[in-house]
This record gives sequence, structure tokens and C-alpha cells, in this order.
Amino acid sequence: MRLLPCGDTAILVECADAAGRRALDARLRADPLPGMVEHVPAERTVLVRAGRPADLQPLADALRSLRLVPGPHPLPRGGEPEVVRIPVVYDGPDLDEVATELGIEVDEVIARHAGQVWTVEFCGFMPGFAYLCGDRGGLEVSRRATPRPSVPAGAVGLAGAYTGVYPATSPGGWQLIGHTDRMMWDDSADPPTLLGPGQTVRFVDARR
Amino acid sequence: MSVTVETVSGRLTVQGPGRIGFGALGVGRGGPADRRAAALANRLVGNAEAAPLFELTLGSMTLTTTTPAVVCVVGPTAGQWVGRAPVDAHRAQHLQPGERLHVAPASSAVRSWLAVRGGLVSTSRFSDPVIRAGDRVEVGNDTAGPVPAQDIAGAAGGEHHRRLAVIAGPRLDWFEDMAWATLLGTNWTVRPHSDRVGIRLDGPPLRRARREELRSEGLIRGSIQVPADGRPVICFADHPTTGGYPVVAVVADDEVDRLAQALPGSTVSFVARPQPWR
Repeated sequence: MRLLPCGDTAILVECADAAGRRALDARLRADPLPGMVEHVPAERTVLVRAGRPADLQPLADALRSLRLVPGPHPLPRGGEPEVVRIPVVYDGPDLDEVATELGIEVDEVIARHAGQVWTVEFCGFMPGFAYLCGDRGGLEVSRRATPRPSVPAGAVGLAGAYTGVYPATSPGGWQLIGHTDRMMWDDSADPPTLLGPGQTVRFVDARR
Repeated sequence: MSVTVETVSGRLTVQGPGRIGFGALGVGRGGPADRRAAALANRLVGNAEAAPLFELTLGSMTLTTTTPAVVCVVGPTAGQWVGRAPVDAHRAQHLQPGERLHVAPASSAVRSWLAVRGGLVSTSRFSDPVIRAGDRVEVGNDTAGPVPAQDIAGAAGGEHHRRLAVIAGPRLDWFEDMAWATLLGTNWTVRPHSDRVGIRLDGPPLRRARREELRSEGLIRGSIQVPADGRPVICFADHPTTGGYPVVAVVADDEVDRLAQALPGSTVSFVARPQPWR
């Protein structure tokens, strides 16, 4: 774990791998350090934000003395306690392309997507957009060469090793394999998003 | 009570205290483009400093009320009038039912703020409502005390050149050795299409020493991202929570809001400030 400068109100912590980032994210979520206001996990890093510049030195010291335990990790506070089930109609416009890229049948793409437990690694891109990794893999695909100007809310996509559900209509470059009616984002709910970091998910084939 | 926006040109939004603690869900903090100016407007009508208020960008507006209201404009405007009488900015104004407050835009600046005593009631928790002509906006009771008798200091204005303190960024080592000297030694020009998401700069490209893709990582207001073309973009009030361009430096938190008034064509330079921790 490496501490990188990030202005006078934050420290960017770079972890050796995704497991390290997961452990640090879970630790800070379960038990925030004195002086920190929030943290933002990403692929290999956790951004730790302080209330004031004077909080940074004690925060840096506390981060350096953390002893992290590898998973399993507690779920986000207020998050759903168990695996969230998301029904998906697998009718996305890129299903055939995804199958071709992976060298498998469309049915096998669906079987792999609906046949593993996915975990939210981090959120980003837009409010409530969760990046999920599966425990079995087998669905690594490239992004579309040209992003779509408009992807509808509820679209289920693949990119790299991740799957994700668009919480609102937006431009997007992920390969779309289906859609869900389950709301990813609710302004009046607390937390407003269905999927926060650490949450586990199963996608269910809605037509079976 | 409520106030009604009768006319508006440019962009008018309601800006609240910002959303702290939702970064991990992909929700940025937002908040007024100049937090000090907004706090001043609120103080001048006796509001809590972070009470929701109007932020007016490159335009004018007219406001009316059906009940007596206390309002205050902060920012470098071209002027404001109650009815036909010019009134001071940075001073609380009492508005009687049916009276109109008109705010005209300054040609040398970008934004102004209009606080209403009690604070506005935002209709959305996670976005900043855009107000259009004819919209009625509810007023709350987010006061901190009486309307102060005296006005206080001024707010940052529309200077043509800004010198801002920067601290080395997390990915300074992704750039060529010359990049830091280039960053500090250049008068950068603010490009058009700068907005609340980012202030785009033009100048000599900051060249990268490392060519691989950076994995997306967290950003803060003031992070200076450098896309492939080498032209820096300063993350501003509505920046995304994460980004995949390396951050060469970060503008100090107490100076970054001065960019709220940076017109395209104005210039920015940077002066190094030491990292506040070891």
C-alpha cells in the first residue's frame, strides 16, 4: 500500500491488487479513521478525504499503521444483508457480438452471467453505476469501439472483467446483453442506490 | 412561502451544501461553484452558511415574491434593481409582495449568487435543480440568526488573471521531468466549454512519460487531469467521482473556487505549495 499526495484535503492510497483495495475499502467502511470524512474506492486505489488540511498528517499516520485482514468483508452499512437478485431479460443488442468474441454460444453467455455471484467492486462513471466482478469469470470482453450516444436505464452490460447496470439513460460504451426493470437508483431511499461497494448480486434469467 | 423566477437567461440552479459521504456510490459533492461567495450571501440574510441558494451563470434573472422576503445578491454583477431603483450587491434587500428584483450579468465574470432568507428548498437530494422562467421555488427556515445590520467583506471578482496554489498530484511521476516546470511556468488560457464539471486550459502540452492506461481513481475538486492531448482540465464543482487520466497536480482547496469567475480567454498560473503531510 502506497500513500500518494492528492491536494490538501485528501490522500490517494494505492493498493498492490484488487484484494488489497477490497480489504482497505471494507476496513474504512466498517470503522472510519479519525479525521476522515469519506472514502472513494476505485480499481486499485482508495481516495481518503479529510475534513481539513490539518487532519491529513494524523490520517497518513493512521493509514500507514493499518493492519488489514483479507476478506470476507462486512457489507456496507444500510445495504441489503444478502445477495441481491436482479431479474434480467437477456435481449441486449450486443449478445451475438459478445458470444462471437468469446467463441461461445449466446446461451452460454447467459448461463455464465446468470450462473455466478457478482460483487460490487466500486461505483463511478455516474451516480449509482456499480462495477461488479464475478467469482467465476469467463465473460471478459472489450468495450464497443464506438460508444452509443444513449443507453437506456436498466441496460445490463459487459466491459473488461466487469458487468454493470445503467442506473439512468446515458451515453455508454459497454456491450449490452440485456435489461432489467429493477431500479438501481431511488432518490428518496437511503442509501439511494441498490448496489454499493461490497454488495453481492445474482442475475436471474427472467424468461426461465 | 415561496419566490417565483419570472425571467431567466443563462443557467439558473439551486445549490445546496453539497453531498458529502456519497462518493463511494458515484455521487459527487457538488455545491456552489464559489463556496465562500455563497456562504457570504447566506450570512448577509442571516441564513445558515450552507443553505440552498440560487446560482446564476452567464445570465440575468427577475424574482418576485407574494410575501415579504429578504434577499441578497453576491458576485460581480452589472447591477441589480428592486423595481426601478438600483440596489447594492452584498447587502440584504427587503422585497415587498409584488416587487421585482432584477439581476443583470457582469460582462467580466461568470457567476453570481442570490440568497433568500430562510434558504431555498431543493426538490432533489442528488442533483441540482435547474430553474426555468415561471418556476416557483419554496423557501425554508434554514436561518442562523437575524439579518445582520452591516454588510461584510466582498467576494472574489472578475480579474483577468488568476494565480492559484497547487500541490503535487498523485501521478506527477507519470509525466516527463519537464512537466512540473511547464505547469508552473505557463500562463494557461481558459478554454470555452469550461463549466462546473471542469475548467479546460490551453497551453504547451504536458507530456507523459508513461503511456499505459491508468486505472480509474478518485478525484477531488481541484484535481488537474491531463488527457491524451496534454491539455490540463481542472476538476470543478460537478466533476465525476473517478477518472482515468493521470492527475499531475491539485489546486489548493481554499483557492480552487476562484475559478468560478474564470471567463474563457482569461488566464491562470500556478504556484507550488508544499504537500501538507509527510
